[in-house]
Amino acid sequence: MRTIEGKIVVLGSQGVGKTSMVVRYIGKMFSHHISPTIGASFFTCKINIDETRVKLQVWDTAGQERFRSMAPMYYRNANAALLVFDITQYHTFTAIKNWVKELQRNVEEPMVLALVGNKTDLVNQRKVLREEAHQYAVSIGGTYFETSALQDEGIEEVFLNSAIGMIKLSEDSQCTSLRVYDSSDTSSPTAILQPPPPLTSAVQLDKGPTQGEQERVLACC
Amino acid sequence: MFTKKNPALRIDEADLKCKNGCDFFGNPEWDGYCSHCYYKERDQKKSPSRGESASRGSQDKDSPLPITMAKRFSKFEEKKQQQRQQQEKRNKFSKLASSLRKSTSIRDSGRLPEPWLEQSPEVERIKQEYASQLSSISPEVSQYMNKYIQALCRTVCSDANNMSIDELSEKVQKFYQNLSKCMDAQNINQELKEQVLDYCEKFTMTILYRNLFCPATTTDEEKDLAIQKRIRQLSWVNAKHLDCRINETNKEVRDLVYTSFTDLLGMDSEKAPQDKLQAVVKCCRNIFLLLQSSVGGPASADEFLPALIFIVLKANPARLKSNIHFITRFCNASRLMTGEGGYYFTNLCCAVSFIENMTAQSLSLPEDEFEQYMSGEVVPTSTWDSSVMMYEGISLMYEHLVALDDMHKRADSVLENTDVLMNKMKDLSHQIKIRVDDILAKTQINLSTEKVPTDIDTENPLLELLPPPIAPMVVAPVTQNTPESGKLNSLSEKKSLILPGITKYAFPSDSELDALGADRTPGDGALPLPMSDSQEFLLTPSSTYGFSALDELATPDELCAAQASLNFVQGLSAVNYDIDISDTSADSSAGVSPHPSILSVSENKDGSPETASVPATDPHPDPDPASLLDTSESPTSKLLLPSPMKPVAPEPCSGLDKESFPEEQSSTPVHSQGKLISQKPPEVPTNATSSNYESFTAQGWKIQSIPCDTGTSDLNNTNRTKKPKDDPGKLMYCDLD
Repeated sequence: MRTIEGKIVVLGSQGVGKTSMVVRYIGKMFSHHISPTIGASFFTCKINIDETRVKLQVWDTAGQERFRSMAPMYYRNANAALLVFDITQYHTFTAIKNWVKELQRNVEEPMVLALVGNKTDLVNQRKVLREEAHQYAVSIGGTYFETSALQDEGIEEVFLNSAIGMIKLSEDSQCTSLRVYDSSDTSSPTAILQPPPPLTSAVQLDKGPTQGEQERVLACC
Repeated sequence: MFTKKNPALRIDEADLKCKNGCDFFGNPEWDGYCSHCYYKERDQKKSPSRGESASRGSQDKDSPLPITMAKRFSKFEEKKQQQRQQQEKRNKFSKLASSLRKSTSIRDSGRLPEPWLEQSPEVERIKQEYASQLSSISPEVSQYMNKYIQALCRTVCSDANNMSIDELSEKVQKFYQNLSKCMDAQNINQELKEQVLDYCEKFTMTILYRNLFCPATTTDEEKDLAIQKRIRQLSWVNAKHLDCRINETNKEVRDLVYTSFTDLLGMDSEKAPQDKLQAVVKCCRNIFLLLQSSVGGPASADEFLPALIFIVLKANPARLKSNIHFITRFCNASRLMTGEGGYYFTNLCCAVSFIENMTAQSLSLPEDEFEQYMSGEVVPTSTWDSSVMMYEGISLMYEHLVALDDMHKRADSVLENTDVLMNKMKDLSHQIKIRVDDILAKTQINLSTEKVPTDIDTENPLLELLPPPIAPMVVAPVTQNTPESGKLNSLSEKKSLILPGITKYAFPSDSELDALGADRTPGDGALPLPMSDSQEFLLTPSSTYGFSALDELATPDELCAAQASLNFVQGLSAVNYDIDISDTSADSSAGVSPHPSILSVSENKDGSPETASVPATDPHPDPDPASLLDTSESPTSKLLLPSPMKPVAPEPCSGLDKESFPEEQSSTPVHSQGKLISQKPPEVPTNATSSNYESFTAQGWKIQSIPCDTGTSDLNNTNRTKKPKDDPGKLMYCDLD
């Protein structure tokens, strides 16, 4: 069985619900998939998709503005990024745009981008329109999700999508930081250094086992 | 120790001498020179080159890079040469070499071909630790692995000083990758591969630790000092500044804080990078635990990073930068990039970088305040230290409170004991009181017995005793006294006969009292009990005086008429007794004073006791007119004055008395007689005249001087005040007794 080890970094402003999302996911998946470590800022989970085991390492980051400058240390060598914002606060969405710019500037390897609009339970206070966010996600080569950590809606899809995105990345063999090994295969790791691919390449994924109707765009930045 | 010294003794002495050929011994530390030559050499070079490790950093900073490199190279050449020489020697003493190697390999690692074969206890331990894994891999792999390790060690040891740290790092990383690839090629399963890789990493890094950790070619040491200084400067930063919710007052949390301190500090003592990393992981896990108990739920990165910064700030680990660099350079990159260790290490790096770049803004403090804190001008109120101190203080306070409670208990017990003691003392005092009362009651009896005897005494012995004083008195001219005194004894003997005598005396006296006497006479006839006022006078000496005095004062002339109404007289007597007593005593003296002739003699004798008993009495009578005094004397004469009176009476006073109170005189003797009834009734009849008075005076004199009299008078007074009628009876009984 192929095993892919990838790192997901969760980015976003303070108070958008990054940790809540992670905690919700751990809480839900605790019994079967996830072996959470102490605390919610780092955990690993294994997702089996189509004969492929994906080991996700989720790195939570501090959202405070004062730690903003430290972010590169976190997203270095990350294979996927969850860009979380609060749909009731527009400035969190603009902050995401800054994050993306920073990622594009600093990260050379391909990365799965997932734009997550959290707090759909406060939909009547919505400030960020779904269409706008969706369009932006497409423009950066990512996928847009709307979730509610409070009501546990749409969170699983986010992680699943990231796992699938990583599988795709490993298939493309364009990512050095992604550790891919096959327990039945004697071949050496597939990690091969390659020049960063153009940002514009967006690939439409096949529907995964648990995919929603959202348009999933895999970006190699 | 042993390995160092033993070979040194065997080496040729010449090899130990200074390279310059002087007779001093050289030292490898000084490039084989003796200290003298070494400093000379150094001065010639005009740049410090001693202490490869310590000053290398500053050297790099001070001088331009090419020069230092050249210098380093020259030194290296030197070393090579030295090494070659030593190697030749080593061939000679091949057996020695093995023991020498280790000590020299550390300093001049390049000269030894196989330093990694040296079995330090640490390396040995690592080997044992991974023995099972190593045994499970195929011999080809292990051979390959050993070859690789040897190659790496050789290159690192030989090139440690002329390769940049980055190159070394690259080499080590390549080594890891190659090993990994090799094992993949051998189709070793993933877990075993990880473990074998772990072993290789640990093994090589432990061997090469001294070469690769904080090498002289880097400025790590300076950075260490810089960050340490920085952290010390930031000692005022507390959890609140960092928005980190550490519950400092919770003991559990505090314990976790301290364990995370020790974990972080323990990072420096580990040698292998993964062990260092593990220390960081342990520290971070503890932080999560303490955050969980502080926050009350799973902590997020938002809380974790500030807490980690806080821990780093407070722990201020030694050689922090060196350790971080060592891990980043020589830890297996795949481990560092992913996994829990990688995550926490990244956080640690973040924390360090935050500390290095901390500004007023990052702590959301005003610029000037931040500057003040940094310069140490102002110290924030609630720092960790202060809270620790507060905690210590509180715990101390609690200890003291416990001690206080104990003290309270003890004090209470002491108070209880004192209460018990007090009660005991009260009881004791009460008992003592009772006893004293008992004794007092007894003593009272004694006193009363004394009093009774005093009366008796006065009667019996005094009668005998008194005469002599009387004799020397002015009475001297009156020769009658002496015979009287002699008679007194005979009289006293006749006490048994007193009662009838008294009555007899009373009768005549009463009879003399005109109307009163008429009233009394029947009373007298009915013996003492029925005796009325007149009897009172007779019975109670003091009262009689007072009464008589009052009578005289109040009703000098009218007495006869006024006394007709008994009640009136009684009331008067009752009222003025107390005063009268004093008066009586005064009267005696007063009575004396008017008579100058007597004064000289009588007053000296009479006055002394009188004044002692009643000192204030004298002034009273003096101002009084002589007539009154005289009148007063007449009654007083019964008791006290008789002696003075006696001389007075016959000469001038008697005349006065007679003049003023012709009737009274008759009464006064009655009074005196009445008093005498109890004491010396027989005297009166024998000598009714002046001689009688003398005898009375003698007695009265004595009686007065005896304080008991006043006491008795008091008793009498009380008795009198009640009812004059009863009193006489009682008194009579007393007298009878």
